[in-house]
Amino acid sequence: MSLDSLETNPPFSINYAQVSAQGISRERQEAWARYSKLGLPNHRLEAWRYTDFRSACSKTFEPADKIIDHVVLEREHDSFRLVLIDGSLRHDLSDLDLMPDGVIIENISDSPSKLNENFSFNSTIFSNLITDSIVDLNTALASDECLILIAKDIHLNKPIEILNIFTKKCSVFTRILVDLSENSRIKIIETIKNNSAHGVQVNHVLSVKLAQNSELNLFSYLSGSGLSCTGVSTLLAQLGRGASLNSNFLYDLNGFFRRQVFAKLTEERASIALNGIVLAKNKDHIDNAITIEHCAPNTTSNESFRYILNNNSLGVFQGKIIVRPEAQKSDGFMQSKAILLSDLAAMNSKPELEIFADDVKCSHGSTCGQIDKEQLFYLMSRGLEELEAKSLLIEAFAFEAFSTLNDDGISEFTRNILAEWLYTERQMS
Amino acid sequence: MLEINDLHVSVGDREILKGLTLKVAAGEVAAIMGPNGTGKSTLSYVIAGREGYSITRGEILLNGVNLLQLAPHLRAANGVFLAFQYPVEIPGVACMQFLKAAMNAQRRSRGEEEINTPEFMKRVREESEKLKISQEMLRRPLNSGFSGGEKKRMEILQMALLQPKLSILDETDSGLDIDALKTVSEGVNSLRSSDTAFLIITHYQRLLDYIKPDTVHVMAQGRIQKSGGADLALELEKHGYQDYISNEAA
Repeated sequence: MSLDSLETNPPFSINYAQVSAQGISRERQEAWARYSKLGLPNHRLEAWRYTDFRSACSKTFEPADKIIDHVVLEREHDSFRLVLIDGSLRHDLSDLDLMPDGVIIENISDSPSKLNENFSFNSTIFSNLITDSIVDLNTALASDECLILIAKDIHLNKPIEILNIFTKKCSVFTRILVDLSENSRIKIIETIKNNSAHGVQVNHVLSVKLAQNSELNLFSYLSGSGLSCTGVSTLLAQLGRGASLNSNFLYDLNGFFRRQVFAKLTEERASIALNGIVLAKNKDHIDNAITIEHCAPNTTSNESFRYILNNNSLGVFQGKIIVRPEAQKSDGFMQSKAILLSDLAAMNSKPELEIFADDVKCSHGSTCGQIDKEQLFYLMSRGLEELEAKSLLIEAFAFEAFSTLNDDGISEFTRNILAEWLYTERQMS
Repeated sequence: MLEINDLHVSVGDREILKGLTLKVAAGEVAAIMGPNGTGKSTLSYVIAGREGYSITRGEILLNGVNLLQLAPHLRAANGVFLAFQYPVEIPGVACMQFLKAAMNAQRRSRGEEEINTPEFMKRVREESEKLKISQEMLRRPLNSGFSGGEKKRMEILQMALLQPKLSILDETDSGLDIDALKTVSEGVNSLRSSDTAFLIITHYQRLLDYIKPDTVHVMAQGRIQKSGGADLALELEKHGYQDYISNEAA
């Protein structure tokens, strides 16, 4: 398909005029224009080489209707909740009125001026890193856009939980902006849950801006019992002086999914840790594409991913670390490891380092293999039956990725998800 | 207790054990000595059930049960324990988690009740003190970054907790300094009883100064070449294995 034909025939069968009927920001218009030129990314773009999103979205779903369904949600975490169902912010299910002092949550989709005033989010900040149109498409079409503002010096012990739930066959465009002021410290639990029995298409953006010495612990969990979820979730992160972002990501969802991260360490001593555990089965296709730009001296980045791939599933890891000339004494490390539980599972891993400074420490590592037979025999020789021994080894393997997770509750939660997954896979085999 | 009859084992096309026959009675400590590459470690792995060996003839019986028909974990539940020459590092699995899982797995296999946590903690504390294993070491991942001596002591701790009937020590003395050798030997000696047996595989007399064997077997060319009492080990130390190798060659 040529770019010309895409322009006249955009792959999302959405009537943009309708969406923007209430008045449309210049930002959205420009984003739509950029998107229309490029269309959805396909495998000819290097960054999308292993994940041809255009083919995966050859049939596009309509946006969600605005019918408010009755939904009952169980509480899995003790948290302040922000609930989106099929892309719409649900006041009835959220804890918007219970937020503590220093935390403001607003739906800013109807007031683009606020967006510009509060948060200089626009794709220009990341434009040198993002070479595709996914974020533009999100900018153009995001439904309820939520801004979470954390005031200076606020330390929250209870996490803010963003629940993004899909219940029906539709396309969903969600965007959450988080703005942490100086010295603030919060935890966010981001849950993307697909319960749609007929599939869903998702384009989700979480954009975080961390001011000086602020700290964000982010746990992202993708799950759901629904049919195939096709989508992209993008994390945009901008870190100021001494700010720290610790992100742990757990993937257990049927579908074709890419999580991409674009992070800028803009000032000295900013540090970011991006960790992930991927549990994939059947024909799942899971891609983690990460670009980190070290723009200032003494900045640190650390990426650690573990993939456990069963059946015909495919894992992709693409990590790029860019060190700008001024970012001396930067430290960057990325590692992806995969265990293939089946002969048909596959892993593609592509680390890239672009280093323009001379005094830096940057390295990467990648492995792909099966369960270690020596370790398995050792455990079995002590009396553990094969499946129990394998489960123990897989759990140990997975948890290597979460070494910076300093949260017993999330750790326990992850352990349970993993045990359940292994149990189900065991029943299948 | 242990009865091995005419055991033939190959790896690929190469026959390693060529008709090995050996009996170890309950309460007995049997030492197997022999030069490098005669199949001593193969013997220990085959008894424990490691993959990758084809057993072309013979049988291994433990108290009348044919071990060759059992998966490794069931051999363990039947009382086989192999102290590895090179204990495997398992990052991410905590020692305590592993020890409890192993004890309970064997208990389940034998239809016994699982051990409760206070009882488990008490037993681990008792046994680890004897072996000079610190609580700090037990908090680390299994064998991960352990020194040679720590790994061997960890093996003996497992042996003490699992209370096997037949313990095979595969070159447990290798990589140990004198103090560690003493600690490990004391650990083994304290587990000797009338209803347990030990198979001690070693190159040197040294370990046998600390763990006195009842019988000594010389293994060469995939077979037991000579059996005798503890004196045989001293004789070997003097004359080496040359006689046994040349016998076969001639």
